[in-house]
Amino acid sequence: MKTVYGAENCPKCHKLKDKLTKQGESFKYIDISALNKDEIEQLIEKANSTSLPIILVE
Amino acid sequence: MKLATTQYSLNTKTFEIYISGCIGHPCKGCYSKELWDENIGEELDDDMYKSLMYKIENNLHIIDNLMICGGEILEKPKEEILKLIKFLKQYKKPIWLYTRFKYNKVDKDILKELDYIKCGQYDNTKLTGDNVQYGVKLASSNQKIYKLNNGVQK
Repeated sequence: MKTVYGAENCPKCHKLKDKLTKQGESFKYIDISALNKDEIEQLIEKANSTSLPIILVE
Repeated sequence: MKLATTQYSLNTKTFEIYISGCIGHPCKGCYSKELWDENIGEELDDDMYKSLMYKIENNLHIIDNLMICGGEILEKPKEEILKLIKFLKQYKKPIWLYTRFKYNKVDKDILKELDYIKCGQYDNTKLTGDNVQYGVKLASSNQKIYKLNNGVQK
């Protein structure tokens, strides 16, 4: 299952979301405003990235 | 004064506000050329302030810093700059401002309202990987961050 992490004011996040939707892919979208600071730290560590969008496959 | 965009930096937990327009664009190798044009974005009027308020308040729990950058904010009218800074102060988070100007060229009334200011032009002939100040990696060796207390360097 793919999880896409994005932000409201992130054009690349919206593009990716639209692309995956058009491709009919199953994914969960999480806006980072729904996270707390600890969860953001964990996300950075897991993804080894600080740029949005982030896709995690679990 | 127009707001080009806003962005949230995951690693520094900073809400960044990009103001469009840079006259003369003297920074060698500028990587924000899309912000040179002062007509990019939306006028920072009452509606845009409301929109900005919504974005900040929606993310306040993950924001550690507020940053104004561009473009070159310090080319805008002083009263508009102060209005934006004073608006941001209500959130009681450190306020950062990024400018290409040198510290001694910055208006003292503006300095008084800031917590940090990054001064100095980006210069791609002075690129460095080890100019880290206050947890921020600066691209070129001539750039400097000043921590301020009531307009005076701490």
